[in-house]
Amino acid sequence: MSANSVPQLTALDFDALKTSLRNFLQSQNQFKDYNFDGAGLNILLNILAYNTHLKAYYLNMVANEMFLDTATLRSSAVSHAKELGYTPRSAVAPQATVNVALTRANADSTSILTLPRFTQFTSSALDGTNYTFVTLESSTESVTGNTFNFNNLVISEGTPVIKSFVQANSSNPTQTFDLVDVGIDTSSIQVIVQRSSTDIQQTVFELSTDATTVVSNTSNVFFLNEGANSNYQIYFGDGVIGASLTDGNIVIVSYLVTDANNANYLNKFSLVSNPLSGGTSNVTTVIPSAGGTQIEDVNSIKFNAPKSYVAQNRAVTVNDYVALINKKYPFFDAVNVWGGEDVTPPVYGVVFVSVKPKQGFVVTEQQKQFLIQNIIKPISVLTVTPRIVEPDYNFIILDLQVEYDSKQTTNDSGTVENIITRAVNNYANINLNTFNSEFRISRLLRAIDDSEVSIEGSAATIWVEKRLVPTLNANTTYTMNVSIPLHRGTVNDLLYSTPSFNINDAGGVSRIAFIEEVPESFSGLEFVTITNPGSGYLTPPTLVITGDGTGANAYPIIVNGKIAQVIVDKAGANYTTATVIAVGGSGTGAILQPSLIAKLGVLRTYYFDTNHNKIVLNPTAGTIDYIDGIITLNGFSPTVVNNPQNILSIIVQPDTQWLQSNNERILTIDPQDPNAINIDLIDINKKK
Amino acid sequence: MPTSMPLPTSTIIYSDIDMSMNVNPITGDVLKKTGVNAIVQSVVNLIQLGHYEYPFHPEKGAGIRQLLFELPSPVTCQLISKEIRTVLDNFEPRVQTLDVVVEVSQTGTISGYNVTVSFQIVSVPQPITISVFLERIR
Repeated sequence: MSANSVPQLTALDFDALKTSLRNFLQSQNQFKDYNFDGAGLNILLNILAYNTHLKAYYLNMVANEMFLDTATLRSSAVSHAKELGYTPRSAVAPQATVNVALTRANADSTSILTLPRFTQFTSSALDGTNYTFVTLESSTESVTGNTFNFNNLVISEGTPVIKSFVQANSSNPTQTFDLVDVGIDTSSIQVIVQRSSTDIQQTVFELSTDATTVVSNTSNVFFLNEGANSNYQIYFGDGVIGASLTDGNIVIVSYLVTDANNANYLNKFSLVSNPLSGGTSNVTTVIPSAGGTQIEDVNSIKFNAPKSYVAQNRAVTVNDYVALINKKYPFFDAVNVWGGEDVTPPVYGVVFVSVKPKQGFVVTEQQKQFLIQNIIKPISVLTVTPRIVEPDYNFIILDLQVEYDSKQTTNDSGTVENIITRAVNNYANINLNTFNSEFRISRLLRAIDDSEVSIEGSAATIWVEKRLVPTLNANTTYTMNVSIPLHRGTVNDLLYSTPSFNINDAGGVSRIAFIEEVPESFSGLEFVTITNPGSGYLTPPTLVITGDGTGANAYPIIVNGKIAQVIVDKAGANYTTATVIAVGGSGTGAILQPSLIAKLGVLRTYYFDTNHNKIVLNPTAGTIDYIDGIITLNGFSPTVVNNPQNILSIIVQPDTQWLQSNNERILTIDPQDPNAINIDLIDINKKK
Repeated sequence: MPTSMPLPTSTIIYSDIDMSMNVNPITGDVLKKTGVNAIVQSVVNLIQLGHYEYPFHPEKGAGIRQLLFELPSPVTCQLISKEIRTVLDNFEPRVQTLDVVVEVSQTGTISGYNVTVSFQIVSVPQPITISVFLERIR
């Protein structure tokens, strides 16, 4: 046997290890049967290889679990995150906002009513399950008439759990208590410490998230820790950092065990038991349930923990804000933050935050205040003022023309349309509905073409819708910023409004009116096309520009007696029509065609009279800035908008196939809007 | 792998450790089995090897153990015979199986199978016959 032939046992795999051992034995002469499965020597090789394999595997596993990057067990990742001061996010209970009206019976003289913490509501069924929602804070109202109105009551989904532990220093010197339920929303944990079974004085302890919440050795705080099996532990101060428990203290812990995201999107609730005997209750939903999120998974912990460590729980850069808002308040679909120095004109010392709610389009005033006071202020730099900006939606409306071959599919046209709609919504979910998103028509068309085998090709016309809720009966100027270059409408593709609204004309008569763009609403002269260069020009003729605008000027360049080129040196302004005539220069026959440009177009309001004639009400109701994408309505005062939600939509075509959004703007396709995706499905067999 | 090995010739002396693990009284080394004895030991080992006993290779082995719990019938004998043939053909390249005879044997309370395997070692002209008595012990 060669002295240097040491088996190479670096592999992890059983077969590779066994091959190494076999190669090693090849160099000896004692036992030749190392390579036969039935040989006795082979049994020894198997044992050795298996043993080596297991040892290598465990060693590798131990090494992997020692580092955050390679840890696969949740307990290891959580432990590493703890070293970085990061507490993984717990499950988050979905929240809904409701108005509760409780009417007392006539004989009832209750004048003040309190709905305590954990007042239970039950939801309508979702997939066959009714979920329990509870209040997390007590709230008190006085009677009005016979009714107690609890408005904007926030309720959270989950089963309330109340546990009490008696502290015994001998058996629990670390003052640690295990909360064994799975699915605890840690933000709902409330800890009350009662002195003893005989002394019932109670103290509320607050959760300590970092050192700043612990002021002294008497601070009533508790700490939270994720232990094994995703269970949480609470523990108390040691008497130096935070107050310590004493023997016989009774710790009363209450919290919610939530079904997290399963209970999102519920919008009907009822009170489980009416606190007023003989009274009636009515629960109306203000905001459906949203925000339910599962416990943070291992990959997310591995991703977030180092970043949280870098940010040190302080919001300084834009990414700090986004990360910390997402971590502390995961109720938003998307968060965007930008500095005041980036806006026009700059606003120094202000940081703008825009958030998109998971449900609906509007952020409530309550959410805004909570966000500023409880989330952003505690972590932001003192001199920087946070300002919440409502998200501004650019709703995309698609007119799709799709050709398909009905012989290639078993689906009927209705099913094909549904598949296309699903493909579009899927595209929107992946690419849109968030800040700083991009809409590329080519990508969308590819998604449509790939959605069904029978689809031969597709084309799309894009419109952008701005929604406006105008103040009725008040002259108000509205500015809608699309931030996308807009198409200068011709007769067929004008900006338009829907639905109709009522507005008074100059004589005070109410008219059912609409808004539209003045067709080909042009302003200055861009260039002049030479339709006929003419002949015989000895000197350059004077170009006389006539039209309803002013200030345009152009001159010709003559080559061989013909007009070779026309240079526009002044574009002028306010032209809706213009003609150019060449005068003088001794030549004849030149025909020139001017083309107009416009930065600003004009909007007008109109109505139809009894003979269905279109009558313009206000020829200058507003302007449209084609380049910057800004639509302005001046002194707009409708009396009624003929829409239940009072929403007036202004719909306009963009001048580009790539739409982008920045700052507070969000590109979205509204899945609730039946007119958002219009499909013109053409069967090529019928076309032939 | 054995199947990819060149077929051994009679000039190669096979040598394996003795499964009895007895030691040579003089040298203190484990006893060796060589030549035909080594191959016979390998054949017996393979017949007794059950599926899933070999780490990571459940396909290696004969499922004789399970068959011993079947009713003693000509069908079971046939199955045992087929299993033995298959395991030898697949995993013992040094032998060519000639015949496998399996018979039910019942003497008193002991019942089992008499298995007689005849095979020829490649490049050795004389056939070898081994007999194994297979019985379940629980």
